[in-house]
Amino acid sequence: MLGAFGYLATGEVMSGSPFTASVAVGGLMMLALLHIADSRDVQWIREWALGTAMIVGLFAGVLTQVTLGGLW
Amino acid sequence: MAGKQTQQRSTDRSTEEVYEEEFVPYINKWGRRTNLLAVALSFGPAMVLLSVYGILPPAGAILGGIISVVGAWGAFWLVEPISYYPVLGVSGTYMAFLSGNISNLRLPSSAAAQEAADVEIGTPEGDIISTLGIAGSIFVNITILTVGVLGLVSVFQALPELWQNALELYLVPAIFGAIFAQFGRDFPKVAAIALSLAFVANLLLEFGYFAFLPGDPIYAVIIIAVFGTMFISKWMWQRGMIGQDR
Repeated sequence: MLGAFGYLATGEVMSGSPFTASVAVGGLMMLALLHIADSRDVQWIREWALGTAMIVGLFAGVLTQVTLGGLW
Repeated sequence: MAGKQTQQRSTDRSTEEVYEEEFVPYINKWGRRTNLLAVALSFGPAMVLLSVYGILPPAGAILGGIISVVGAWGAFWLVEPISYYPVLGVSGTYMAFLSGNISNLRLPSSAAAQEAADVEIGTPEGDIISTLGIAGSIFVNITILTVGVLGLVSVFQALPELWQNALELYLVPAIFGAIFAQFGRDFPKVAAIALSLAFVANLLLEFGYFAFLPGDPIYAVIIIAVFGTMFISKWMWQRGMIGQDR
């Protein structure tokens, strides 16, 4: 399972720097939100974590594209 | 009398037994039927071409098509069910493979549902929640798609080009990153191994080291990433290097 998503995620990383930013920020956002949800026991954060991480990752991709452009 | 007896028996049985003896066989029966029906229906357009218009491609073209499809996608036939099943569960696997969009839609829905309901993945409880999550995602998917086709296309086209591209390009990587993080959180060591294996395999592919393999060698990357991670984590598990709980 982790292998399959490792493959999917690195496949996107290879496609360019905005994609890398999307993957990384989406992942970090998810970690942060789930950590907050667990430590404070807030149920709605757990439910909205994936959606939020997706949107934030999307913005990170756009931001990288606009500011840095494609580095690789 | 007989009715009472059955009722008595069913209340005596534990949830686990009902799951094992009634739910799973029922799901397997209908899952197989519906999936095989989908396989049969997939031949529909070709059958219409053949029977109504009398068009039959030459055997060489059919064979060539099959070979290129096997080369490009064959590895997924093995890898996808094996690696997604633990999360999707029994019924979830049937539903996901019937409806498609597994990695970017069904699996995240299933994972988010199981995270929100706080059930353990791979247990009967997780299986049920996964089923509900996927069923929900299919209904929402069809509803939004219907509304989208009718109304949202013009909204989408009114967006600036940058955002149109962004939605198409960066949403999926963000999902992959988030899902990887969600599962990697429980097993950080395995996550690190999975990521480095996949990264190295991707780099090897990028620099053409798999060029000796027939077809599109992307399957080499998938096999290395998925099975490599499986074997290494099994090896680590046996040596007590990774724990059962977080």
